[in-house]
Amino acid sequence: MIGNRSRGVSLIEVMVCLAILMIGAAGLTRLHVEMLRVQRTSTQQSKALMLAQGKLEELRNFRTLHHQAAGSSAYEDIRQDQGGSLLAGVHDDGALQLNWQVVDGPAATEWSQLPAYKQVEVVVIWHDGNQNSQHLSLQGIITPYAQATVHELGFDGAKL
Amino acid sequence: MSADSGYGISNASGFASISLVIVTLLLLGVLTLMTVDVMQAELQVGYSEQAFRQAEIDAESRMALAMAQLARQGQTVPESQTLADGVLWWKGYPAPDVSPLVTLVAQGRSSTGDARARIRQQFSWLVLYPELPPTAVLAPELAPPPLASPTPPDDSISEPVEAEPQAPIIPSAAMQHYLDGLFVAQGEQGARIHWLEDQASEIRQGCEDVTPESSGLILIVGSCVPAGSVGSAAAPVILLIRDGSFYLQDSSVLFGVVILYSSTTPADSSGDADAEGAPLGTVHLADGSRIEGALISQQALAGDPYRLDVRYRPRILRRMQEGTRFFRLVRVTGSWRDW
Repeated sequence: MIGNRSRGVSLIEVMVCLAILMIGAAGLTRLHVEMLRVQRTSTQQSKALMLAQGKLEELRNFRTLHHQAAGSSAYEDIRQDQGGSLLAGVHDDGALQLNWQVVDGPAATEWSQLPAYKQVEVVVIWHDGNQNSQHLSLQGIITPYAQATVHELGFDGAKL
Repeated sequence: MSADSGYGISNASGFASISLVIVTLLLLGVLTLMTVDVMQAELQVGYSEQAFRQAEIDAESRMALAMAQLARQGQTVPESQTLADGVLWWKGYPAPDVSPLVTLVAQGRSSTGDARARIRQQFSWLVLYPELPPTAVLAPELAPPPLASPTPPDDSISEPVEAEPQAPIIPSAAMQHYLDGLFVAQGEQGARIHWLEDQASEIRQGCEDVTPESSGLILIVGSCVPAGSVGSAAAPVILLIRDGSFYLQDSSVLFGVVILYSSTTPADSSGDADAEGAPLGTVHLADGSRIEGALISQQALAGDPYRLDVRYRPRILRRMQEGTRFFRLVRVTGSWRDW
């Protein structure tokens, strides 16, 4: 009789243990799901950041100041959603939406028609796992100054 | 005895189960804490990266505004200066007889202020036209003049009179070498004329608005028929005339250099004519009008080029290596640092 009660207590103990373990496991599973969601959000954010920064860098690395018939990237061509080969619109299989706004600064000098700088805001929009709209914005200033080598400048051999 | 031992076994198994549960829960707890820690670290890395990029872009923006200020002031910027937004620069002279080198340091912050970035970039001024024309008229198939005509005194320059040399007579090969340097593509960079036209501070269709006050590098698309004189001895012009002719009316003077060229190959544009019905690339200087400087043509000039009144003026040409309008602020390649 006592032996049967003992086995019954053991069963209850095991059931209670299992229940506690399941509650713990469920909590951990939920935590993992949350971690995956955070990871996905973080990955999307990183992709958005890379896309926005890549666009800003591409706009900054224009080849010519004035528009060229050949279609190479030009400072003059940097306008809203224009300029560079990375186009405005959806990217990353439709996951990211890329757009940019441009505001021209004043003329560089009284004798130059080009603006002294262009204020650019690159915006990337995406939807997270809960279909909530998220966005990332990078603002930068682009100036009409090309690069020249030390050779072109006559600095060969000089300590810069 | 059996009952005692039965309770004993039950108690032992109960403690074992509870111990197992406690240990497992502890493990789960540790795992949970570690997972939360990893999540926080991952989020922190993402936010830190974003904050640093924002700070770097902020620093770039501050530097860009400082560059705009440098461009306005030209080479006369102070030896060193700290701007209101924390950007500072100092000027150096890495080699004799070259433009100064400006080192600019900018510091930026993220929008939250918890990330900072510091960048450094060097700048200098590149002269647009380093190799001045070696003689008054340069064009293909141009034989040296039979006798160099003396250059009349330069009345247009109100400075102590200095003997103007005659236009040097250079060999045809040297002339062709100069023209090739200007019009023939040099490696990946293409022809220098394309770089020059890209540096133009003004691009105009025709020369109606080109006046004595005009100066610097001006690109004219099509023929150029100015209403009067162009430029001045103190502030000359470099007039690039693309796919057009050049007509200077009575008693007008152009101070500087006129360069005529075609955007297509000469063979493609050989049949084209300007508004006057003359072939593209025609140069016509009316009686009493002249060019004080030099004339350069990509195509052979029609008629006798030496009948054109082009007076070689080294002093005017040298001004194209001094004035602010003939220099461009450039970033020194490879000088960008973010440490």
